[in-house]
Amino acid sequence: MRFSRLPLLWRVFAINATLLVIATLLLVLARDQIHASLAFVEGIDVVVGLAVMLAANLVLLRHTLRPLGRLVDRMRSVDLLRPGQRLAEEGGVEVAQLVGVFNEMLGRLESERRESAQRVLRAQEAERARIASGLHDEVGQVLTGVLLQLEGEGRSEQTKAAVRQALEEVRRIARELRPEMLEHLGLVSALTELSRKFADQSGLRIERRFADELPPLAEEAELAVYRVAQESLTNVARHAQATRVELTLEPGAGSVVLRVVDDGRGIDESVAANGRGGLRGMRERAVLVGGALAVKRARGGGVEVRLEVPAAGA
Amino acid sequence: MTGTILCDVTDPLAGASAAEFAAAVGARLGLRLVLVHVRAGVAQSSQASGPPPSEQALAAIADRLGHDAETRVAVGGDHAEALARVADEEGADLIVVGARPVGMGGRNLRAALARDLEAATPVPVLVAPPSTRRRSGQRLATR
Repeated sequence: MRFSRLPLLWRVFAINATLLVIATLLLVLARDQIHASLAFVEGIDVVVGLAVMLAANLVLLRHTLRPLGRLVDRMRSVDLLRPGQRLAEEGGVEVAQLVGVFNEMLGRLESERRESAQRVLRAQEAERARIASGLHDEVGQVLTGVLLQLEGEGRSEQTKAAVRQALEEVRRIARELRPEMLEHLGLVSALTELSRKFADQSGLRIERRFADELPPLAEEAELAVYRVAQESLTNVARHAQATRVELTLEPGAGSVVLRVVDDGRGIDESVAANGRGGLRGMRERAVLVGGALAVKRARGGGVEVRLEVPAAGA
Repeated sequence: MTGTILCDVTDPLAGASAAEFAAAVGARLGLRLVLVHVRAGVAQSSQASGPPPSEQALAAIADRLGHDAETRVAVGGDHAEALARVADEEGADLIVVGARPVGMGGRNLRAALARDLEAATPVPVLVAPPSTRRRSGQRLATR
């Protein structure tokens, strides 16, 4: 292996060791000037002394350079969806400066990521609202007109039923895209409506437990709770093979906690931790409102989704 | 419940008594308790051969502490990273890690874990060596 490819620790150690060995050899070779009769035992003393110096050199170097190793590990493993990971600024001046600069950079990255993700989510919600409005006001109106026309012409019930079904579908999609109930009646009513519709469509039994008094939430936090509940229920219907779902909303420590628990086939912890798509989207929403999201195996089997979002002003 | 304590019970020797300490503090302060076992490597199918012995130990500790203790199995190579991830997901306010009841080696090991956690998470970490747990347990029991 080439010298330049060696880790910094071993390069510095090799240089120091070389110097120490040369110094020791010079000491031994110039023995006439130091000691007239250098005996075998004294030679061993010199070798032992050299070994101790080399070992001490290695230990001190390792200790000095350890913060660099930790910095490299942190750089490799840092996850911007888990803000707040920082290294202690320890070690020599240069190493501490390097760690400090890395910590500052991490802060800037987290801040920029948060802002850009917020912009993306806002744009996504605005686009959903625009599509929902278009579906409701334009497609819905056209279908209503067609239905009235069919009734006026006395067409068959089958044709009219098909148009009615299309109209219902359009309204349902519009409702899912824009939770009007959330805007007008608040989170508890919106979740009640969401779960009622979910039970109707999926045929699953759903148990709601909403605390009477919940701390107030910011608009974005309410939307995050609603969207996470919506995504979780969709996942239950698609993947869980469950018969029952529990939807809970309770106060936490200056926060509101949402739990969606099913009795289905469960989830592997590694899949939950490295979740893509919907799970990652839920996690991003949670991070953006300063919340915490856990997707895990429920106590009696099945899956539990737990979202905790801070109350307004907390 | 007004907050969350996360307790590492990966090490069966230190884990059980750390969990008892965390449960006592949690009960006193009205905090939710989540027990975490970190499993290295790829997840195994729990349906095929049943949970591994270490996870059975996790369930046993949870049962002993009572119905309120929740459990998590974190899959990941790095112990501190896995704990930090779960702490973040659970919105933990405090992480409790135990220490081996014998020798300096075990304590040094736990000190290393606490130091790694310092870099991996902003959540405060409490190392609960056995003597602390005994003293605290007696104090908590008398109140």
